[in-house]
Amino acid sequence: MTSIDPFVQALQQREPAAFDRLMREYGSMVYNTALGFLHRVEDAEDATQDVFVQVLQRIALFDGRSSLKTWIYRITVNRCLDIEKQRKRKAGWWNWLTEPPLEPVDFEHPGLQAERKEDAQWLLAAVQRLPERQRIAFTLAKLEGLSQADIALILEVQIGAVESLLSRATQNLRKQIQPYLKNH
Amino acid sequence: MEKSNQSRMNEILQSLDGISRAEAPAFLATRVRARLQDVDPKSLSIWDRTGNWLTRPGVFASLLVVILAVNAGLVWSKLPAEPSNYTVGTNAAEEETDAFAVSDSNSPLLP
Repeated sequence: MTSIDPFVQALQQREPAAFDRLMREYGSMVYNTALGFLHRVEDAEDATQDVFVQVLQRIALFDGRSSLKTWIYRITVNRCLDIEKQRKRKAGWWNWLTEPPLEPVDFEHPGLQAERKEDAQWLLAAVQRLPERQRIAFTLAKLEGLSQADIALILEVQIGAVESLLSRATQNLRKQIQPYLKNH
Repeated sequence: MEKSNQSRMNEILQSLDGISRAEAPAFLATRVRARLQDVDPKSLSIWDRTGNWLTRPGVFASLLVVILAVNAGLVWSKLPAEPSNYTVGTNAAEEETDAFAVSDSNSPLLP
């Protein structure tokens, strides 16, 4: 039997102070994660709102088996992946069949250091092409600075599996970026 | 050359290291509160809830069928009870058609 955190209980009872605390403590975490996946400010803002609406609607079902933070990360990642699938559907079937050449993303993360912006745009473009689980692991590790143990909890896998995902992600990124190093 | 390529690759792969977290957008809490009120039926007035219920496709279609059935019933109940003259008219029309049929079979144009 897991005991429920008093903060979660307060959220379940819809206490306004708990709502304010939730937004204060997790607002930037959710937004930054969404921005890392979606690379578009408007989409990240929409996703952030969606995530908090879902969190507050489902909080009664939260059983405390994972931490609240892990649970919110899972909802965030799933929401971002859904938004991406919607985008791909809108882009049409042709984009599923053809892969355009790698181009730096047209997006600047506000937390980037100025001298690294161009490199980061190449890296983010390559990250977009990674297989889903590698991408989740890499994005959470790099943009949220999560440990392998935290990522393992979010993905519900062993730590060794996260290590392997990150290692394969790095190999794939090297393969993707290598041809473009010669030209740029 | 190979070494410089490798070091360039490492620079790119490390370009996200030490990135600082993007701040949540302003008024996020207000927007989430507004969204929750939109989706939470308990926060709506009785009129809003009734309006939402009536505009559901299933409810609306059922109501439409009921209204049409009641109207049809009312119209039917107001119709006169005596037999209609249309029966005679129909028989006359049939006779006329028969006459044409005879006329056609005797037509000089036919072989």
